[in-house]
Amino acid sequence: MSATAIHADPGAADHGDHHGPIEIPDDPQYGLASPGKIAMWMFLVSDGFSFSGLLLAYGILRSGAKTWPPNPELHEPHLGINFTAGLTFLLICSSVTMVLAHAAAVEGNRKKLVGFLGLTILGGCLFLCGQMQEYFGIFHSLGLGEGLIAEGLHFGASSYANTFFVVTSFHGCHVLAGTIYLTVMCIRSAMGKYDGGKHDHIEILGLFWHFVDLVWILVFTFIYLL
Amino acid sequence: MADTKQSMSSKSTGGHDEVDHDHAGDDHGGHDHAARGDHAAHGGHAIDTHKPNIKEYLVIFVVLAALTALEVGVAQVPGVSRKLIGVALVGLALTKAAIVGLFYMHLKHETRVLKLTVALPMAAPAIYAIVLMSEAAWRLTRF
Repeated sequence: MSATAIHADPGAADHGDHHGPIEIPDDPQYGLASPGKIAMWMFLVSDGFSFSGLLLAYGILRSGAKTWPPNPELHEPHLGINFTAGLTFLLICSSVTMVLAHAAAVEGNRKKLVGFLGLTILGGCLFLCGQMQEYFGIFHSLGLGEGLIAEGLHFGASSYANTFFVVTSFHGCHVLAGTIYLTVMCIRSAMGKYDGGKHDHIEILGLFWHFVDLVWILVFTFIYLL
Repeated sequence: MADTKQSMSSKSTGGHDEVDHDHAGDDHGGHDHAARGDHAAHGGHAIDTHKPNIKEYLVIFVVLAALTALEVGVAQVPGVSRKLIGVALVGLALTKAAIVGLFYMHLKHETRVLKLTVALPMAAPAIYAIVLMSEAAWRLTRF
Protein backbone atom coordinates (compact mmCIF):
# COMPACT_ATOMS: atom_id res chain seq x y z
CA MET A 1 0.00 0.00 0.00
CA SER A 2 2.07 2.88 -1.24
CA ALA A 3 1.31 6.39 -0.07
CA THR A 4 2.80 7.87 -3.21
CA ALA A 5 0.76 6.17 -5.87
CA ILE A 6 -2.26 7.95 -7.22
CA HIS A 7 -4.50 5.85 -9.39
CA ALA A 8 -6.84 7.35 -11.88
CA ASP A 9 -10.35 6.02 -12.15
CA PRO A 10 -9.96 2.57 -13.70
CA GLY A 11 -13.22 3.04 -15.54
CA ALA A 12 -11.88 6.13 -17.26
CA ALA A 13 -9.14 4.25 -19.07
CA ASP A 14 -11.51 3.87 -22.02
CA HIS A 15 -11.71 7.64 -22.39
CA GLY A 16 -8.03 8.31 -21.99
CA ASP A 17 -8.80 10.63 -19.09
CA HIS A 18 -10.26 10.35 -15.62
CA HIS A 19 -13.42 12.19 -14.71
CA GLY A 20 -13.92 11.58 -11.02
CA PRO A 21 -11.90 12.45 -7.97
CA ILE A 22 -8.43 10.92 -7.89
CA GLU A 23 -8.13 7.86 -5.67
CA ILE A 24 -5.71 8.15 -2.80
CA PRO A 25 -4.30 5.07 -1.06
CA ASP A 26 -5.36 4.73 2.54
CA ASP A 27 -2.00 5.30 4.21
CA PRO A 28 -1.41 4.02 7.76
CA GLN A 29 0.11 7.33 8.88
CA TYR A 30 -1.41 10.00 6.67
CA GLY A 31 -4.84 8.48 6.05
CA LEU A 32 -6.41 9.70 2.86
CA ALA A 33 -4.34 12.89 2.52
CA SER A 34 -3.00 13.12 -1.03
CA PRO A 35 0.76 13.38 -1.66
CA GLY A 36 0.14 16.90 -2.97
CA LYS A 37 -1.57 17.92 0.24
CA ILE A 38 1.21 16.46 2.39
CA ALA A 39 3.79 18.24 0.20
CA MET A 40 1.96 21.55 0.65
CA TRP A 41 1.92 21.03 4.42
CA MET A 42 5.69 20.37 4.32
CA PHE A 43 6.18 23.58 2.36
CA LEU A 44 3.99 25.52 4.77
CA VAL A 45 5.95 24.23 7.76
CA SER A 46 9.19 25.39 6.10
CA ASP A 47 7.58 28.73 5.21
CA GLY A 48 6.37 28.96 8.80
CA PHE A 49 10.01 28.70 9.88
CA SER A 50 10.89 31.61 7.58
CA PHE A 51 8.23 33.79 9.19
CA SER A 52 9.24 32.52 12.63
CA GLY A 53 12.84 33.59 11.99
CA LEU A 54 11.77 37.10 11.06
CA LEU A 55 9.37 37.40 13.98
CA LEU A 56 12.02 36.03 16.35
CA ALA A 57 14.48 38.68 15.16
CA TYR A 58 11.81 41.30 15.80
CA GLY A 59 11.04 39.87 19.25
CA ILE A 60 14.71 39.76 20.27
CA LEU A 61 15.39 43.31 19.04
CA ARG A 62 12.30 44.61 20.79
CA SER A 63 13.00 42.75 24.05
CA GLY A 64 16.52 44.17 24.08
CA ALA A 65 15.41 47.76 23.50
CA LYS A 66 14.77 50.21 26.33
CA THR A 67 11.94 51.86 24.39
CA TRP A 68 9.98 50.89 21.29
CA PRO A 69 10.45 52.55 18.82
CA PRO A 70 14.09 52.43 19.99
CA ASN A 71 15.08 55.88 18.70
CA PRO A 72 12.59 58.46 20.03
CA GLU A 73 14.63 61.28 18.45
CA LEU A 74 13.64 59.99 14.99
CA HIS A 75 9.94 60.67 15.74
CA GLU A 76 8.87 57.58 13.82
CA PRO A 77 5.10 57.21 13.39
CA HIS A 78 3.11 54.70 15.39
CA LEU A 79 1.37 52.01 13.37
CA GLY A 80 -2.36 52.47 12.81
CA ILE A 81 -4.41 49.70 14.41
CA ASN A 82 -7.88 50.37 13.04
CA PHE A 83 -6.92 50.43 9.37
CA THR A 84 -4.90 47.22 9.75
CA ALA A 85 -7.73 45.59 11.70
CA GLY A 86 -9.81 46.24 8.57
CA LEU A 87 -7.16 44.46 6.49
CA THR A 88 -7.24 41.56 8.95
CA PHE A 89 -11.01 41.33 8.60
CA LEU A 90 -10.59 41.41 4.82
CA LEU A 91 -8.24 38.40 4.92
CA ILE A 92 -10.65 36.54 7.21
CA CYS A 93 -13.45 37.22 4.69
CA SER A 94 -11.23 35.92 1.89
CA SER A 95 -10.55 32.77 3.94
CA VAL A 96 -14.30 32.17 4.16
CA THR A 97 -14.76 32.56 0.41
CA MET A 98 -11.85 30.16 -0.05
CA VAL A 99 -13.42 27.41 2.07
CA LEU A 100 -16.73 28.01 0.29
CA ALA A 101 -14.88 27.63 -3.03
CA HIS A 102 -13.53 24.30 -1.81
CA ALA A 103 -17.02 23.24 -0.72
CA ALA A 104 -18.28 24.14 -4.21
CA ALA A 105 -15.48 22.03 -5.74
CA VAL A 106 -16.48 19.05 -3.57
CA GLU A 107 -20.07 19.62 -4.60
CA GLY A 108 -18.97 19.76 -8.26
CA ASN A 109 -20.53 23.17 -8.82
CA ARG A 110 -18.23 24.97 -11.28
CA LYS A 111 -20.14 28.27 -11.26
CA LYS A 112 -19.95 28.61 -7.48
CA LEU A 113 -16.33 27.49 -7.46
CA VAL A 114 -15.29 30.18 -9.95
CA GLY A 115 -17.43 32.79 -8.18
CA PHE A 116 -15.95 32.15 -4.74
CA LEU A 117 -12.41 31.97 -6.12
CA GLY A 118 -13.08 35.32 -7.81
CA LEU A 119 -14.17 36.81 -4.48
CA THR A 120 -11.04 35.42 -2.83
CA ILE A 121 -8.89 37.04 -5.54
CA LEU A 122 -10.73 40.30 -4.90
CA GLY A 123 -9.89 40.00 -1.18
CA GLY A 124 -6.21 39.44 -2.01
CA CYS A 125 -6.14 42.45 -4.38
CA LEU A 126 -7.85 44.69 -1.83
CA PHE A 127 -5.39 43.61 0.85
CA LEU A 128 -2.46 44.49 -1.43
CA CYS A 129 -4.05 47.86 -2.18
CA GLY A 130 -4.45 48.39 1.58
CA GLN A 131 -0.78 47.60 2.12
CA MET A 132 0.23 50.02 -0.63
CA GLN A 133 -1.91 52.66 1.05
CA GLU A 134 -0.27 51.93 4.37
CA TYR A 135 3.25 52.22 2.91
CA PHE A 136 2.88 54.84 0.21
CA GLY A 137 -0.51 56.48 0.75
CA ILE A 138 -1.67 55.68 -2.80
CA PHE A 139 -5.24 56.63 -1.85
CA HIS A 140 -4.23 59.83 -0.09
CA SER A 141 -6.35 61.82 -2.55
CA LEU A 142 -9.42 59.92 -1.29
CA GLY A 143 -8.94 61.27 2.21
CA LEU A 144 -6.87 58.40 3.61
CA GLY A 145 -3.48 58.92 5.28
CA GLU A 146 -0.37 59.88 3.36
CA GLY A 147 1.40 56.63 4.18
CA LEU A 148 4.02 55.58 6.75
CA ILE A 149 6.99 56.45 4.54
CA ALA A 150 5.79 60.01 4.07
CA GLU A 151 5.16 60.18 7.82
CA GLY A 152 8.81 59.36 8.52
CA LEU A 153 9.15 55.57 8.71
CA HIS A 154 12.17 54.80 6.55
CA PHE A 155 13.70 51.40 5.85
CA GLY A 156 17.24 51.37 7.24
CA ALA A 157 16.62 54.12 9.78
CA SER A 158 15.96 51.90 12.82
CA SER A 159 15.28 48.34 13.90
CA TYR A 160 11.64 49.42 14.35
CA ALA A 161 11.32 50.44 10.69
CA ASN A 162 13.40 47.52 9.41
CA THR A 163 11.49 44.79 11.22
CA PHE A 164 8.17 46.37 10.22
CA PHE A 165 9.00 46.58 6.53
CA VAL A 166 10.72 43.19 6.29
CA VAL A 167 7.96 41.24 8.06
CA THR A 168 4.99 42.96 6.43
CA SER A 169 6.50 43.04 2.92
CA PHE A 170 7.48 39.36 3.18
CA HIS A 171 3.87 38.65 4.05
CA GLY A 172 2.74 40.95 1.22
CA CYS A 173 4.83 38.88 -1.21
CA HIS A 174 2.92 35.82 -0.02
CA VAL A 175 -0.40 37.58 -0.62
CA LEU A 176 0.77 38.53 -4.11
CA ALA A 177 1.94 34.97 -4.82
CA GLY A 178 -1.34 33.62 -3.42
CA THR A 179 -3.39 35.99 -5.56
CA ILE A 180 -1.52 34.86 -8.70
CA TYR A 181 -1.96 31.21 -7.65
CA LEU A 182 -5.69 31.85 -7.08
CA THR A 183 -6.03 33.52 -10.48
CA VAL A 184 -4.40 30.59 -12.29
CA MET A 185 -6.62 28.11 -10.43
CA CYS A 186 -9.72 30.24 -11.09
CA ILE A 187 -8.99 30.16 -14.82
CA ARG A 188 -8.40 26.41 -14.71
CA SER A 189 -11.65 25.97 -12.75
CA ALA A 190 -13.54 28.00 -15.36
CA MET A 191 -12.08 25.66 -17.99
CA GLY A 192 -13.64 22.74 -16.14
CA LYS A 193 -10.41 21.20 -14.87
CA TYR A 194 -11.92 20.59 -11.42
CA ASP A 195 -15.38 19.46 -12.41
CA GLY A 196 -16.94 16.30 -11.02
CA GLY A 197 -15.76 16.73 -7.45
CA LYS A 198 -12.01 16.86 -8.19
CA HIS A 199 -11.31 19.13 -5.27
CA ASP A 200 -7.81 18.09 -4.19
CA HIS A 201 -5.96 20.88 -6.01
CA ILE A 202 -8.47 23.42 -4.73
CA GLU A 203 -7.94 22.19 -1.17
CA ILE A 204 -4.16 22.52 -1.62
CA LEU A 205 -4.67 26.07 -2.93
CA GLY A 206 -6.83 26.73 0.13
CA LEU A 207 -4.07 25.49 2.45
CA PHE A 208 -1.70 28.13 1.06
CA TRP A 209 -4.27 30.91 1.23
CA HIS A 210 -5.35 30.08 4.80
CA PHE A 211 -1.70 29.95 5.82
CA VAL A 212 -1.30 33.51 4.51
CA ASP A 213 -4.32 34.50 6.64
CA LEU A 214 -3.00 32.60 9.67
CA VAL A 215 0.40 34.31 9.46
CA TRP A 216 -1.24 37.72 9.17
CA ILE A 217 -3.23 37.03 12.35
CA LEU A 218 0.10 36.61 14.16
CA VAL A 219 1.82 39.52 12.40
CA PHE A 220 -1.10 41.80 13.23
CA THR A 221 -0.80 40.97 16.91
CA PHE A 222 2.99 41.00 17.24
CA ILE A 223 3.80 43.99 15.03
CA TYR A 224 0.73 46.20 15.42
CA LEU A 225 -1.14 45.42 18.61
CA LEU A 226 1.59 44.69 21.14
CA MET B 1 -14.08 -2.37 -5.40
CA ALA B 2 -17.33 -2.03 -7.25
CA ASP B 3 -18.73 0.47 -4.81
CA THR B 4 -15.50 2.43 -4.91
CA LYS B 5 -15.62 2.60 -8.67
CA GLN B 6 -19.20 3.71 -8.58
CA SER B 7 -18.29 6.50 -6.20
CA MET B 8 -15.66 7.69 -8.67
CA SER B 9 -18.15 8.54 -11.37
CA SER B 10 -18.15 12.16 -12.40
CA LYS B 11 -21.77 12.58 -11.49
CA SER B 12 -21.41 11.16 -8.04
CA THR B 13 -20.88 14.43 -6.27
CA GLY B 14 -23.13 13.01 -3.65
CA GLY B 15 -20.96 9.94 -3.85
CA HIS B 16 -18.67 11.26 -1.21
CA ASP B 17 -21.38 10.35 1.24
CA GLU B 18 -20.55 6.74 0.52
CA VAL B 19 -16.91 7.28 1.30
CA ASP B 20 -17.39 9.99 3.83
CA HIS B 21 -14.26 9.41 5.89
CA ASP B 22 -14.82 12.08 8.44
CA HIS B 23 -11.83 11.89 10.73
CA ALA B 24 -13.41 14.14 13.34
CA GLY B 25 -12.39 12.87 16.70
CA ASP B 26 -10.18 10.40 14.94
CA ASP B 27 -7.05 10.22 17.02
CA HIS B 28 -5.63 6.99 15.72
CA GLY B 29 -1.95 6.77 14.95
CA GLY B 30 -2.68 3.75 12.84
CA HIS B 31 -6.14 3.46 11.41
CA ASP B 32 -9.37 1.69 11.71
CA HIS B 33 -10.00 -0.19 8.50
CA ALA B 34 -13.42 -1.32 9.58
CA ALA B 35 -14.59 2.26 9.86
CA ARG B 36 -13.45 2.98 6.32
CA GLY B 37 -15.31 0.29 4.49
CA ASP B 38 -14.30 -3.07 3.12
CA HIS B 39 -12.61 -1.73 0.01
CA ALA B 40 -10.06 0.13 2.13
CA ALA B 41 -9.53 -2.87 4.39
CA HIS B 42 -8.72 -5.00 1.36
CA GLY B 43 -6.02 -2.70 0.11
CA GLY B 44 -8.29 -0.75 -2.18
CA HIS B 45 -8.49 2.98 -2.43
CA ALA B 46 -10.72 5.70 -1.20
CA ILE B 47 -11.32 9.38 -1.74
CA ASP B 48 -10.18 11.93 0.79
CA THR B 49 -13.48 13.71 1.04
CA HIS B 50 -15.07 14.85 4.22
CA LYS B 51 -18.32 16.64 3.66
CA PRO B 52 -17.75 20.40 3.97
CA ASN B 53 -19.87 21.90 6.69
CA ILE B 54 -20.93 25.33 5.41
CA LYS B 55 -22.67 26.23 8.67
CA GLU B 56 -19.51 25.47 10.62
CA TYR B 57 -17.45 27.62 8.24
CA LEU B 58 -19.78 30.56 8.78
CA VAL B 59 -19.79 30.13 12.56
CA ILE B 60 -15.97 30.11 12.50
CA PHE B 61 -16.03 33.29 10.42
CA VAL B 62 -18.19 35.03 13.04
CA VAL B 63 -15.91 33.78 15.83
CA LEU B 64 -12.78 35.04 14.03
CA ALA B 65 -14.37 38.44 13.35
CA ALA B 66 -15.48 38.72 16.99
CA LEU B 67 -12.02 37.75 18.27
CA THR B 68 -10.45 40.36 15.97
CA ALA B 69 -12.77 43.05 17.36
CA LEU B 70 -11.93 41.85 20.87
CA GLU B 71 -8.20 42.10 20.12
CA VAL B 72 -8.53 45.68 18.91
CA GLY B 73 -10.54 46.52 22.04
CA VAL B 74 -8.13 44.77 24.43
CA ALA B 75 -5.10 46.49 22.84
CA GLN B 76 -6.57 49.91 23.67
CA VAL B 77 -7.87 49.28 27.19
CA PRO B 78 -6.48 52.05 29.41
CA GLY B 79 -5.13 51.54 32.92
CA VAL B 80 -4.17 47.89 32.55
CA SER B 81 -0.63 46.55 32.70
CA ARG B 82 0.88 46.24 29.18
CA LYS B 83 2.26 42.83 30.18
CA LEU B 84 -1.21 41.58 31.02
CA ILE B 85 -2.58 42.99 27.77
CA GLY B 86 0.33 41.37 25.93
CA VAL B 87 -0.46 37.94 27.37
CA ALA B 88 -4.14 38.34 26.46
CA LEU B 89 -3.32 39.44 22.91
CA VAL B 90 -0.88 36.59 22.29
CA GLY B 91 -3.46 34.13 23.67
CA LEU B 92 -6.15 35.54 21.37
CA ALA B 93 -3.83 35.44 18.33
CA LEU B 94 -2.80 31.83 18.98
CA THR B 95 -6.45 30.87 19.46
CA LYS B 96 -7.38 32.48 16.13
CA ALA B 97 -4.43 30.82 14.36
CA ALA B 98 -5.41 27.42 15.81
CA ILE B 99 -9.03 27.90 14.70
CA VAL B 100 -7.94 28.69 11.13
CA GLY B 101 -5.63 25.67 11.10
CA LEU B 102 -8.13 23.23 12.55
CA PHE B 103 -11.29 24.28 10.72
CA TYR B 104 -10.31 26.09 7.53
CA MET B 105 -7.15 24.09 6.82
CA HIS B 106 -9.02 20.92 7.85
CA LEU B 107 -6.35 19.76 10.31
CA LYS B 108 -9.25 18.65 12.50
CA HIS B 109 -10.05 15.97 9.94
CA GLU B 110 -6.47 14.76 9.40
CA THR B 111 -4.77 11.85 11.10
CA ARG B 112 -2.86 12.36 14.33
CA VAL B 113 0.44 11.82 12.51
CA LEU B 114 -0.23 14.69 10.08
CA LYS B 115 -1.38 16.93 12.94
CA LEU B 116 1.83 16.22 14.84
CA THR B 117 3.94 16.62 11.67
CA VAL B 118 2.70 20.19 11.53
CA ALA B 119 2.35 21.07 15.20
CA LEU B 120 5.61 19.73 16.64
CA PRO B 121 8.03 21.64 14.36
CA MET B 122 5.98 24.81 14.89
CA ALA B 123 6.42 24.47 18.67
CA ALA B 124 10.19 24.98 18.24
CA PRO B 125 10.04 28.70 17.31
CA ALA B 126 7.75 29.30 20.29
CA ILE B 127 10.36 27.78 22.60
CA TYR B 128 13.14 29.79 20.91
CA ALA B 129 11.06 32.94 21.36
CA ILE B 130 10.67 32.41 25.10
CA VAL B 131 14.38 31.63 25.60
CA LEU B 132 15.89 34.27 23.30
CA MET B 133 13.55 37.11 24.22
CA SER B 134 14.05 36.41 27.93
CA GLU B 135 17.79 36.49 27.35
CA ALA B 136 17.59 39.81 25.48
CA ALA B 137 15.41 41.31 28.24
CA TRP B 138 17.79 40.01 30.92
CA ARG B 139 20.77 41.64 29.16
CA LEU B 140 18.88 44.91 29.18
CA THR B 141 18.63 44.80 32.97
CA ARG B 142 22.33 43.89 33.34
CA PHE B 143 24.07 46.30 30.95
